[in-house]
Amino acid sequence: MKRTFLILFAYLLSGYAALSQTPVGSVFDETRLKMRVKQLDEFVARFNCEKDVEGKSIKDKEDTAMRKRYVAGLFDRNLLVNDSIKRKFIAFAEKVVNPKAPVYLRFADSDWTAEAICRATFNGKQVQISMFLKTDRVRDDEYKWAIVSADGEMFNLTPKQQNPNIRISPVDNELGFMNMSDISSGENRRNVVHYSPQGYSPDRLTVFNTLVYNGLLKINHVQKIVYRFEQVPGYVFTVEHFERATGNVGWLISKLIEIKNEKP
Amino acid sequence: MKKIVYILIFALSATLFTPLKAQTLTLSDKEQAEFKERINTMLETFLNDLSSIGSKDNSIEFKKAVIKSTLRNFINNGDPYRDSSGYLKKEPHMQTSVLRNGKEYKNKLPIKTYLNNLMYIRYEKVTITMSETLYLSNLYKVGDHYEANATYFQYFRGEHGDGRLYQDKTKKTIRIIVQIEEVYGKKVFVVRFGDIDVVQTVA
Amino acid sequence: MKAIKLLLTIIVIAGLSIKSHSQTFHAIVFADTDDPKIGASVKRDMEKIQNEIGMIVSSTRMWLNGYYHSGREANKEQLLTVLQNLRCEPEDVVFFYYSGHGGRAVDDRSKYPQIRFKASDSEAYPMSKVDEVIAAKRPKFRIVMGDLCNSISDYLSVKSETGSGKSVVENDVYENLFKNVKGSVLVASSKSNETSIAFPDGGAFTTCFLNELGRIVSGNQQADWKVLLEKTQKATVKAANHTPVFEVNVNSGSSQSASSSTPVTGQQTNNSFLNALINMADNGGDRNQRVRSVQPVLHEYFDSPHSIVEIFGRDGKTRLVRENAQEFLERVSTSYKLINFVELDVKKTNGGKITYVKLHEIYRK
Repeated sequence: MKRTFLILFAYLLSGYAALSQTPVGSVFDETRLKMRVKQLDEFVARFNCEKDVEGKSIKDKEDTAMRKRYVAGLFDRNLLVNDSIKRKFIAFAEKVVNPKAPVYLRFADSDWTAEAICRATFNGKQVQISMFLKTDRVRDDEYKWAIVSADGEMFNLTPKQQNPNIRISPVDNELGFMNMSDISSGENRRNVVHYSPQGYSPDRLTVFNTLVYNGLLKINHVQKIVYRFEQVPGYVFTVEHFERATGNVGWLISKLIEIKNEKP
Repeated sequence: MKKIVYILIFALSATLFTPLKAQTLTLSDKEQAEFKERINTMLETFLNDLSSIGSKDNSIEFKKAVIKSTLRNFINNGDPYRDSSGYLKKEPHMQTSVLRNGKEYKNKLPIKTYLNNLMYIRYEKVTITMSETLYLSNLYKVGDHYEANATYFQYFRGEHGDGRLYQDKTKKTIRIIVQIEEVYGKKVFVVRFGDIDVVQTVA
Repeated sequence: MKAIKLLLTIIVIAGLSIKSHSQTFHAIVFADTDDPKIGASVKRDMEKIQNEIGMIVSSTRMWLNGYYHSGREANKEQLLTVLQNLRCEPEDVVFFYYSGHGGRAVDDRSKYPQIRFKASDSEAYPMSKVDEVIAAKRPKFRIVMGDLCNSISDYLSVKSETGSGKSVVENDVYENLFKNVKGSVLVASSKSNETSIAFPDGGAFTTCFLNELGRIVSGNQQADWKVLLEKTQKATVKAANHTPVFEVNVNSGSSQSASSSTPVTGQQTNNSFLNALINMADNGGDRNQRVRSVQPVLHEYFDSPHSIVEIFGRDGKTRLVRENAQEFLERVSTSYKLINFVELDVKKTNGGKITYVKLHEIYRK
């Protein structure tokens, strides 16, 4: 049964290449453009079996077989390099469409993230940073994207080597904390975290906000977006945009990670 | 404020006339098709306008008139504007991404500047073709209005007088801003364009 | 000197008598829109028929003489005046359409009913007589059509398939049905002793006719009046349980039409405001001139730059655009593929300046 499905699976995926025939005189291969996953909104609509490739509503969303086909069509085909990986993806698709507990993606879900990889300017230098965003409820019927964290070299305040001797002495207060200026001078400023309590971990979002607020970090543009979804129990998958001259193009599942020891 | 009001009346849908509780505005298949057709028409007009503005066959006088007309399709006629809370929002921009020797170059311009630059483009002839395929996202509530994105594909062909040719295919995603207004006691949709993102495609 | 004067006179007369335009499409539409029972439905018929006429003339490139009478103007006296004053050339087409009450006298022999303006016997006029009068004017082709509604139904049992968007001229179907033919078509919405039904969105017969016509046009099918009316008849019976009656005497005829390579353009009409718009639209005129004509047209026809213009879809009820006169004219002057307009409603000041106008726009493909 699984072998049959593997064959069918392969056929369905390869079918995307066979579909596109540019009519004579036409600038565009409209079939191929329809197949393309043009927006993340469309990715979600196909994943949930809500809209077909024409963008029209699907009446029977509960049709498991059809939904499996749509989910299969959302994989980056280049990932499916061997049977073992294909089986993993099939298992994933079956989990998604399981009629007892089907999984649907919703904009308002809290377990998905957008990572915006950006070019920025920090201290006059061109740098690359990542900003992580989640959907955030404004009120009953309204949501927005909110920045929840950031990543980049400038957010990493913890020095590579911890030195327990870098501290403010317990008797410095009687000297009016006269050496406080050392904390921010020269290279010693890189040890600033040492002067915080035990167990302190810098909050990257606050660091990001502070840098931007003070004009020290300027975001130039977003180079790439990677979405990370955790809604399917036992799996984490990422979605990225692929631009290439095949039928398997647009917003597609770029990585699928199986999480062992998932909570029941 | 003068404005063009693109109006869609969905007489049969009760959802439009009830307080909008859902995060996305639900349209029936028929309403969705009508809305899509309306956006398609606006986009076709926009692309035709771009061809007119970029064409050497047209005088600057005509091109300026086309630009004025085109900008009416954009939020606040392509100028910065204050939202309902008084916050000043940037005018719509056109961002282009071009791949050259494996590297990506992005350029962002206010739509007015983009159109004015297009007036003086050096091609003898400009042809801009739009794909039939158009994807319209859901309409999401944002404050006092709704927003969606429309994605379509464009083929641009610029011919120089000496026979040199530039052509490209791009994917365009354009923000659609929908305000609901009362006109003669009926709720109607007012549709305008916002930012445009242009990404070069391989095929 | 006498010879020169004579020559000049001949030239002037010749100039006056030479048609400055080709074939004329005379559209005579009477609609009893004031009737308390069926008026709203009749109004919908009129809007849809007007839009259809716009498509016909845009596709066939005929000059339009439009005589549209509704409300108080839809009466027997006005009908007689229009028919009396109708002047046709041998290549012309006459399309007569009536929507409103009908009936028949006890001694009526004709299978066609009488038009009954305001549901009054004193305002009655036989459809067959309308046909006779028009025939006597000897146009090349005439259509006399009546949707004579007697009864209103609240149930929507036929869906109008008329689109809600703009109209686009696509193919030769209209030419084959309205221009390249000779003869006559006479059709009424129901046979003797039957009641025609009016739905809220228009008369059953008119809706079915426009649906069938729309299918032929959009499917670019072989056009034939007999087939079209047979299909309409079948659809009307199914939808409303009354049987349209018709006579088709049509032959393919030649015409003085322009070659098919001539681009489709909006043709001129007997409505000077629409003519001004057509000249301003994308009909091959000089582009700078189009843009420069905005202010003159604005001052000539509109009460103010803020006068309201509303553009409606093909179905006459979907509002697509609402703008002021200035914006509208600026848009038209730079438009692409916009070739023609149908005026569905207009409000004017006492001085004849437009304060509000409701239009439908027609584009070429």
